[in-house]
Amino acid sequence: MANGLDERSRDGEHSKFAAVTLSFWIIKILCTTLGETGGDAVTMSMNLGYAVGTSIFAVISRCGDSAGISQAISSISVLVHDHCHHDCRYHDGGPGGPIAGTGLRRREFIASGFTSGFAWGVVLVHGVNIRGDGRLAQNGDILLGHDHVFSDAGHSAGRLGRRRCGSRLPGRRGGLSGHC
Amino acid sequence: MRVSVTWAAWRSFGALLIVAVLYRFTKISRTALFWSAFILTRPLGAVSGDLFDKPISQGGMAVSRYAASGVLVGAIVLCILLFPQRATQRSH
Repeated sequence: MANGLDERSRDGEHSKFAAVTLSFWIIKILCTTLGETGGDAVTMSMNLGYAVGTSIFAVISRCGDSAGISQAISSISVLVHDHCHHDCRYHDGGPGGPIAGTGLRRREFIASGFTSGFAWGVVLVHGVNIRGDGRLAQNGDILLGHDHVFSDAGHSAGRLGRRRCGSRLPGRRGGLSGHC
Repeated sequence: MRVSVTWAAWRSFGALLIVAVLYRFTKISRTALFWSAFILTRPLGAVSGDLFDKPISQGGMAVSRYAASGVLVGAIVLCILLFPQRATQRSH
């Protein structure tokens, strides 16, 4: 994952980041779907648990970045890792811990509001930077660096949308698990 | 009230379509629309994943997680090979 300005963009050459085209969105949705099924396959079907699943995909993602392997492969790993990470958080505490047991609807509403607010805060801050320095927007740092923040918002929103699908599993502390 | 994953998937897809329409026909900030779409792909992907592997009684297709993941990997590879990739030359 890149940090700082992309040298090639700075020099006016092509960025190493893909253009946002229709194919970008198609592959993005496919990757996110794979994040869901792949994450469930490793953590549930293989019964490895969320901690192991998170570690596996975190390592794959890091190796992919270090070795310069295709961005798509790294993105898939990040998304699957992210999926595991979220379920780990929902089940084992983290930000959701203090309000676990107060009911799925209220907990997810708070989580969704918090992450969405934070994500849009980042957009506003970077919006100022983009206006001040056009070059910042020419690389993919914002896209990649805050991927997890926006995944947070999207994932919370998804959980919120699916809270009524009928699957309520017993969670820790007598609460309801976020998995639906 | 129970909502099937099929309906949830359509709802997420519809929200994404609204963003696409706003992009096409309005002058709303491209940054805001990009991130709105970026966020909305997440619930769409999540419910799409559920659509594959949830039981039929919950509106899913009851496809095994391994098979669904395999099909998705194949689709992604196919997209990468078939769609021409180009580097960005402007801000997103």
